[in-house]
Amino acid sequence: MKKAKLFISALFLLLGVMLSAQNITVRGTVTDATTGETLPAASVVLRGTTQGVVSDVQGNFTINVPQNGVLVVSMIGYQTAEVNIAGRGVLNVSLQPDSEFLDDVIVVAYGTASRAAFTGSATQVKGDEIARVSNESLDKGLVGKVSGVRISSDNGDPGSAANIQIRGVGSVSATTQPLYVVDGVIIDPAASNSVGYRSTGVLNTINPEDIESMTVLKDAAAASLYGSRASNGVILITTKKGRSGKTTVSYTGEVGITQIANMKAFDIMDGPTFMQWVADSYDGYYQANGYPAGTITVEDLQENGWFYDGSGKTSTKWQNEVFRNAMTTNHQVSLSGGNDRTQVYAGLGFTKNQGVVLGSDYTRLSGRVNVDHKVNDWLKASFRQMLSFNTSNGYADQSDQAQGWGNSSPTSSIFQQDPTAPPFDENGEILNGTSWSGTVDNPHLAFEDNSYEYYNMNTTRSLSNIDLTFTFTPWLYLTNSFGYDWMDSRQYMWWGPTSVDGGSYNGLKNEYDLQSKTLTNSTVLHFDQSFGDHSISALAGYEYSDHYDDYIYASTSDFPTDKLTALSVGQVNGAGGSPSRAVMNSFLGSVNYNYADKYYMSASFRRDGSSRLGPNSRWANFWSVSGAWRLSKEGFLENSRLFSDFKVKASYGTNGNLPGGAYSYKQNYALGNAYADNSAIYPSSAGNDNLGWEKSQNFNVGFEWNMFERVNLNVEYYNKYTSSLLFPYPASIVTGFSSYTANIGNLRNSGIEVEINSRNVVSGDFTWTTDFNFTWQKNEIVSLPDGEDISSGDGGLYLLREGESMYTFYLPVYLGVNSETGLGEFWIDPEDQSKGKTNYYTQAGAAIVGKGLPDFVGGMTNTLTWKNFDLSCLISYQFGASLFDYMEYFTVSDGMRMGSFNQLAKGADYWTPNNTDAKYPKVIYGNPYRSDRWSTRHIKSTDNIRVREITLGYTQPFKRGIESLRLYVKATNPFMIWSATPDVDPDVPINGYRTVDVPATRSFLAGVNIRF
Amino acid sequence: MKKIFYAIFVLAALSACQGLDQEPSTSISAETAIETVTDLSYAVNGAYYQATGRGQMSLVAELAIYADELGPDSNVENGSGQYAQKIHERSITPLDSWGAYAPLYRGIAAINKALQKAEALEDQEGAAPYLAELVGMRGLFHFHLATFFAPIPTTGSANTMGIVLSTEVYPLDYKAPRATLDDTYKQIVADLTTYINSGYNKEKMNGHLNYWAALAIRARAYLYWGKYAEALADATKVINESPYKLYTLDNYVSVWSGDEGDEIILQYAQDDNYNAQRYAPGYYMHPDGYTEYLVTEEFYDFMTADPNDVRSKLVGYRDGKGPAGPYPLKYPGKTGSSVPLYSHSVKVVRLAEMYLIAAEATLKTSTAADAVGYLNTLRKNRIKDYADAATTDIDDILNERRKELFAEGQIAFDFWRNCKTIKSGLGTYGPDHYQNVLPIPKDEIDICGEDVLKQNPGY
Repeated sequence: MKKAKLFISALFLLLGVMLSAQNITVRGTVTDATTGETLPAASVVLRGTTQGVVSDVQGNFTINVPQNGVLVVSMIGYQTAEVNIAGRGVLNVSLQPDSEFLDDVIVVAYGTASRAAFTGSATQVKGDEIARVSNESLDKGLVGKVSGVRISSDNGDPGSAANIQIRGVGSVSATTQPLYVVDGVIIDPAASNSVGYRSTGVLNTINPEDIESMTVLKDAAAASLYGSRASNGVILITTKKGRSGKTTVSYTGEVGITQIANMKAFDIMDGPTFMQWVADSYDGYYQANGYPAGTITVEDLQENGWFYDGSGKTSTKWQNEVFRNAMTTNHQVSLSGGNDRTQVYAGLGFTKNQGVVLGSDYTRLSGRVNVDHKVNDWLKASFRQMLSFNTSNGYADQSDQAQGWGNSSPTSSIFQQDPTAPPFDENGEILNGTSWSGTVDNPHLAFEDNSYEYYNMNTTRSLSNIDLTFTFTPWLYLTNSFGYDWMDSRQYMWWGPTSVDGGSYNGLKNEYDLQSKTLTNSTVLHFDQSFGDHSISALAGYEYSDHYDDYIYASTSDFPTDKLTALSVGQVNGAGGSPSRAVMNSFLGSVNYNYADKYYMSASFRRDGSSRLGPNSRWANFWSVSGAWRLSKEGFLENSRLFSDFKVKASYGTNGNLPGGAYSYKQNYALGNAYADNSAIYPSSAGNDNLGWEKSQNFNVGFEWNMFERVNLNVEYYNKYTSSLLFPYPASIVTGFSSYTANIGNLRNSGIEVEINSRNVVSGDFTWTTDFNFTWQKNEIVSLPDGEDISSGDGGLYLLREGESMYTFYLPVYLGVNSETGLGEFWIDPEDQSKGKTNYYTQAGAAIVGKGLPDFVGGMTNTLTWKNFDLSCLISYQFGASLFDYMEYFTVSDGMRMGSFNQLAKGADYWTPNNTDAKYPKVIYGNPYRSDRWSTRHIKSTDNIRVREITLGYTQPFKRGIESLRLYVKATNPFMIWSATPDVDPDVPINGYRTVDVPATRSFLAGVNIRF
Repeated sequence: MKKIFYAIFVLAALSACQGLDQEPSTSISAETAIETVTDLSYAVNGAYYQATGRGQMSLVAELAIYADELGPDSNVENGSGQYAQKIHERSITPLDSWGAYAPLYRGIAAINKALQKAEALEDQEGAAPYLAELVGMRGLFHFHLATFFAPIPTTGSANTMGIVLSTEVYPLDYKAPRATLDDTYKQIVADLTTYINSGYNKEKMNGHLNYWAALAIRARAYLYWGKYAEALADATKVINESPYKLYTLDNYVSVWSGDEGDEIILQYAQDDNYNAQRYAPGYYMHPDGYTEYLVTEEFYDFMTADPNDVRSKLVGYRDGKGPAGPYPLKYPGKTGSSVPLYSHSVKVVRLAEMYLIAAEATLKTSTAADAVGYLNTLRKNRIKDYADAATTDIDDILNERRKELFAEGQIAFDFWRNCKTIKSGLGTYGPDHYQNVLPIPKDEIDICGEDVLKQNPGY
């Protein structure tokens, strides 16, 4: 009986549900709210279900839904709209375009903020804009997109590291790189996956395709919540989340080629020119030792077998043997879907980029799953897991330039080969013994054949996040973020027994296994409440971070074969390993106040304690205050079209920077080395009990102006004063130390940043938008220890002087060639020219001759769409900086490098009695004048305007099955619009040092994107 | 309530934190570094480790053949522009000499710190010999610095600057001028004498300055200082009383491929793991290496003129990747090493030199007939069927030095201190040519100020 009652009541219940959920058919059209044009392929989903349809080519949709339901209409590029059906059979929905205008929500420190209420300085870039420029590394994708941000790559090898500088160079000796925060978890900047064999970007491990957005936090108001590590700015990376509604599957495939962007830099002398240069250099040597001119001729040298083919008929362009058109392939699959309680994003990416140098490549296989789940009405949980496998194969690079130009360097190989030797013999076999110096192998052997040398690395990284949100009341909730970043990197160095480097070891294999583990946990209590026109949001929290590094090293030598390269094949040569650990405890809080969306005030505070500093100065406080006034909400501007939005803002606050070393403050004796095989201990660090943070005081003022709801103009001025610089304070070596780390000196970075986003044309089928940014910046060393100049860098190339910029070049001033003597001339004292000229480099005085930091940088992106076509073009520019051309020191050497390096073709314009109006001095082997040494000859302007990226695409939406199909071609770094120094690539590292490593590359790709 | 419970649970999970006091894994605090006699013995090794450097221009690298590169008998063939070539071509500038200067001062500072820290250990058993050796080493390292960065006193150079003396622990802002040349040698001799007078360490010690090595180095220092009677006394004491024996006709050729030999009084110990790698002397004098130290054809002929002289076998034509030519064979590749060209210990003082010092000092204080006796003893162990010579002169002694000590870092010093001009492939250089002395490193002058730390003239 009981059962029957239960059954009946269940039946009624069900009926009741059915009655209340009576379905109707709804028809409608989705349109763009600003242009009125119809939107195909918009997703229309019944809220809380997976039931949905997609609008057709005309933007029409038909859906059968409960009459009291809510439709969720969404489309990429537009803000999602929710519409109550309320029994209506026809529902036209217009979507507001997603724009970077003031009503956006942006990701900020420990949360999100509406752009209108944000009082700091930050720029958010969408993930697809990043992935469009670089499939390799998200930092490289920021080039030209954000004002105040400069990006450079170490070199042109795939997988090499990029350097980012936000608002100038903020430190002399500590890091100048920003802090990276992925999904709320700080990625420890000290984490490294390299032992220095070659540059590798640790951010490569994160697939750019998985990125939803990147926010660059520039001023104190934006960044001070990250306190002691925020002085170089902060980059917040948010990964993609699943979207509820219809499940979307997307596949992107790309294929293309990469090549050296500027091959002019490697235009070497051909055979006959080379032979003449050798003979003239050698003859110059004889002349310098008292013999008459003409003692040595090309014929003499030919007879003595100096050249592989003395006939002058062979001219091998070795640059084309070392460099190649490299293949790039990229496959990305992702899935996004869910309902109102659970959303899932999953992505899998495979990228394989060959390097432009024979035998080098970079491969990444990465997967990510992000799950957001609402457990109940007071607990939300997010799980994010990334796993990424990276392989990079190739050769050593020379990030340490003091090492000269290594025999195993690819660029060195170009110049060390005899241009009169062919790369292959008559039978097409690789010819060895082609190098001019006799020690370097044919590049086809050295780089392609693994029995010679290789430098390979495998990096595996796992990033795990768990976020829990406890909602106590509608205005009070607690979040706990737990992050675990685990990275393992294996580094393999092999010098085969017959290789140029391995001969003296009879084969050498070094392997390192580096591990880095960072645990971060933050617990933050959030408060968010409005009282009439007053709204207050506040947070307070605690954060703990524990960074652990370790490595194991093993080395064997004396290999019986060059065919097998496993460690065990050789005899034990060495082993080592050493862990280190750094811990940080932090307390943080902030308050934001908003009155009537008109007046905004914010303040933040963070207290950090770090194990990297001594007990005396371990804890420090960082804070910021900021405010904004939205004038457009005032009566006098309320209806102004010109001022559709206008906000002025200002901020002031402090940030910090930590020493790089985990134990720099300690006075230590080193163990672990030996005098022969007897243990040795010796003083290894001078220590400094009072070592403290580097502190920067940041002032920022600016306005955000939206005109006619079409043009957005942001202008900011910043002044960042960094004091207590972490500085290797020089000491006399008689004390046992050449320097010790101290907080000395002050540095100022100031600048003006302008960003313009404009929708120029929005009419029917055609749209044209322009994003432009401009930065003027100035870096000034305000004070140094005792006010004294400090020379720094390789060979004292740079000078730190009060009032000057960082990376100021300090070199002798080269005056050109004396047309009578043929010798190069320098000022004896550039600041007192009355002292006259000299031919001897050692007598030449130095002066400030340029700087590596530019005055003006910026970029411009134009995006045009017409019907289904889209075209975008990114141009970047830079003015006011110079580079130091280290490679030319070797490759136009006034005869010095005879016997070791071929020269650049332009170097053939050297002085002879028949060419007295020459660009370069007389060539003399063993040159006693050394006019080839570093001087203004090697300082060149990097001013340039460059096309960074062009993409042309065609998107075809479909009614069923496939949602859309997009085909595109893109070019990165395709060409230079203008360059002050056309024969050198101006993309050099931040310090302006043109290394002998592989320079910037360009690539051309074709791709397809399919959505289901 | 449940929410709060969960939130508290999460917060509790946080309490398992590491503290802010973290210690490095490969170094220890200076306060606790030297607490036992064993620690002290490691600190002695540490001072050698620091002073020998292993980097470019260090004692176990180019400096080991510095005087050979500047001497009359060396040649660079198809060099790689490394420092041996730069020394040979006299193109070292104040930017290049840091590697020669810094390690030695680091070593001396390590000595002074060890002496200071070991004050507490003075009464402990076994500490005294280490403390004595440290003082001797301080003299030795000052002597090395003086030979490279200051003129030899007997050249009569107008440059009478010695080096900066380092005899105690200095604060980090310490900046000192150079002592006079005379005070420099006084300090060198004083430290060596303190060690010798202690009477410790009379047994053979590989890689360490023992009693006899201190005597031998003091003999050399006296010779450079022009104090010939004192030089003679020290040299003859080593000859007569030390446990070292001259190499013989039978073993002379073979000893060079190893690190052991009856004559070796002091060498800087190197092994497969700790060595100067490509800056090691062996790599410079091998056709597979940098080929920046070959001998001249003239020297090859000079050495091989008498086939009865076993030393003729220590120069030879070698083939390899680099140019064929006559190479010195004194660092031929260490037997049994996985890195034979890198891992030779660097020879500092051999017994043969004591005979040469004795001969020269006797010649200068007494008669040629007395002097030649030392040469005859040496030559008997070098030349088959040698008949005693009756007399000698300074050129004869210098030629004997060329034969006996080439590739051991002495020849140019020997010429200069006897005021002889050196003619090399690149030109003719007098005994007080400014480039016979290395420039004080620019960085060091920048730090101390030109008015405090004076550069050697000419640079």
